[in-house]
Amino acid sequence: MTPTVDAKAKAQDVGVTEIKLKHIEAARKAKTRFVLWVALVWVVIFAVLLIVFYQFNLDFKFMLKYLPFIMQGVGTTVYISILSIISACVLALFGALGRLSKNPIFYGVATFYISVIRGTPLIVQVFVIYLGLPQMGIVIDAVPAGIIALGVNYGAYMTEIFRAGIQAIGRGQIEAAHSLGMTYGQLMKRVVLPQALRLIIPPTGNEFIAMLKDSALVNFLGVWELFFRAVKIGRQNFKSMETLIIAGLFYWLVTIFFQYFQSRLETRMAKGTRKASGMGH
Amino acid sequence: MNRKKFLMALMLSAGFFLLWTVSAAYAGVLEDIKSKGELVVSTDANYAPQSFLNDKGELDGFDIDVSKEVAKRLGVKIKFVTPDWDLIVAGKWGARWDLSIGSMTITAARSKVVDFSTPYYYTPAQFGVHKKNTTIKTLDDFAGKTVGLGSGTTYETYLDPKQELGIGGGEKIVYQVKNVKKIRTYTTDMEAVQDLALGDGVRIDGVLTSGFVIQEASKKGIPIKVVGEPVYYEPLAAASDKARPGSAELAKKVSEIFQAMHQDGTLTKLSMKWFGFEVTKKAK
Repeated sequence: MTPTVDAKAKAQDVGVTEIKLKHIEAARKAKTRFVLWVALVWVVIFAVLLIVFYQFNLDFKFMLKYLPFIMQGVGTTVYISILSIISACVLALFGALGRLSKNPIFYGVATFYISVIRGTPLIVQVFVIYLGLPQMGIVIDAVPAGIIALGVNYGAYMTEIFRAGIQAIGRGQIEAAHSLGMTYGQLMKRVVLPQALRLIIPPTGNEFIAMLKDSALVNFLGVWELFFRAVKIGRQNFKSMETLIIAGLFYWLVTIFFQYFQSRLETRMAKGTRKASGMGH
Repeated sequence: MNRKKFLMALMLSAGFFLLWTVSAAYAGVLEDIKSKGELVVSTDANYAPQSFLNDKGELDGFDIDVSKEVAKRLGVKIKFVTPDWDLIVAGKWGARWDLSIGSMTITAARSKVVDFSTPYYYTPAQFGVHKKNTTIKTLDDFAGKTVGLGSGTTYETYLDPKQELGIGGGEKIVYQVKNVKKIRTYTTDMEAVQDLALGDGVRIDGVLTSGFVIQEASKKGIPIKVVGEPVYYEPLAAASDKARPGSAELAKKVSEIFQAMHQDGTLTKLSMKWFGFEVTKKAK
C-alpha cells in the first residue's frame, strides 16, 4: 500500500460524502419548498374565503361581542364527544366479538344492532332514546341521553373497524394460543387485542373527529354545547349567520387540534411495521 | 353457550325490568316539587324579551321572571331547562321538568297532552311584511302570497284550512287571510323573520308571528313592519305534563298563583319592565 493510493482513496471517500450531503441538502430544500407552497395555497384560499364572507355583510362587532359566550360551548362539545367515543368503543368491541362469534344468538344480536343503527338517522336515534327511555321509567337527563345516542350510533359503525382489526391477526397465532391451552378470554386479552389495537386506534381517532361535529345534534335536547349557544344567540338577535360562522370556526379549530394528535398517534402506532413516511432517517 | 343459562339470564333481566317499571310510579308532581325543594321549568330561550340569553349569557326575560316568582310563591328553588320547543309541546316529559312557563298558547289540541293554567299574559298574532313592500297593505292582499312562520305554532294552524285553531278562552278570531299561496315553515319564528329580512319577496312575502317578535325585530334593525290589526290574541299559560300524576293539581295551583299575581300587580310590573306596556290584561 503506497501513500499515494491511500490519499486517493481518502479523496474519493470525501467526494462520496460530499455527494451524499448534497443529496440530503437538496432533499431538505425540496421539502421546505413543498411546505412553503402548501402554506401559501392555504393562505390564499383562506383569504378568498374571507373576501367571500365579507360579502355576507356580517356584523363583526356583534360577532366579537358574543364570541366568548359561544366559545364556552367547546368544553361541553369535547366532553360529550369523549364520553361518547368511549361508550362507542365498548359497544364496538362487543359488537365485533358477536359479529365473529359462531353462536347464532350473539351473531344475530350483533348483526341486528349494526343493521338497525346504520339504517336509521342519528337524529332519529337521539330523539327516540331521549323520548323513549322515560316511558319505560328510566328518566335520564339530556346530556346522558345524548351520550348514549352518540355512543350507540358510533358503536355500530366502529364494530366493523374492530372486527377488521381482530380478523387481521393471523390464524397461526390463534392456533398457537389454543395449543398452549389458553381460554377464549386469555386469547383475546393476551394475543389478539394488543395487536388489533394497533390497527383499531387510527380509524377510531378519525371517528372521534367526525363525532365532534355530530355532537351538535344533542342541542335539540337543550344541551348548551357549541351549536346550541350559537343558535340561541343568533335567533334572538336575528343574526344567525354570524353566530353559526363563529360555531363553525370553533368546530374547525377543535378538529385541527385533535387531528394533530391523531396523526401523531398514527405514526406511533405504525412504528416498526410501516415504512417510515416522509423525511428523517 | 348452553341454552339453560341463556334462558335464565333472559328471565332474570325481564324480572329486573318489571321491578324497575313498577318502582318508577311517582307520587303527585306537586309533592315531588315540595320534597325536592325545587321547581324545574322548561323555557324556550329563543324569544326576547320573553326568554333569551342576556349579555352575561344567563337566561333572562319576562317568562324567566314570572317563573322565579311562581317558584318563590311555592316556597321552592327554581331550575331551568332548555329543550327544543317541539319536545315541550309534545308532552310526555318523563318528569324531566315539572312545568312549562314558556309563553304557550292554550289550544284544544295541546290540551290533550298538557294541563293548562289560566293565562298570565296575551300576545297579538300579527302579519308582517318587509319595510320596502308597497303591495300588501291589508290582510286581504296576502291572497296568493307566500307566508313564513314557525313550526308547531298556532300561526301554522291558523293558515291551515284543514285544521281548527281551537284557541282556548273564547278568543275572537279574524279568518280574513285564507288564500295564501304557500306556507313556509321554519324551525322557529325567528328564522322566518330573518328570511324576510333578505328582501321583499326574495324567499317569502310576509310572516305571521307574535306582534312582539315583529316589534323586537324592528328594534334590532330588521326591515319589517306590521300589516293590519292583530288577527287574534293568544292567551298564554303555564302547562304541566298530563302523563304525570297530579298534573291537573299543579296546573290549578299555578292558576291560583297567577290569579294572585294579576291582582297584586306583580304581573303588570313585570310587563312594564320587559315590554314597556301592559300585556297581562285580556284584550277586547
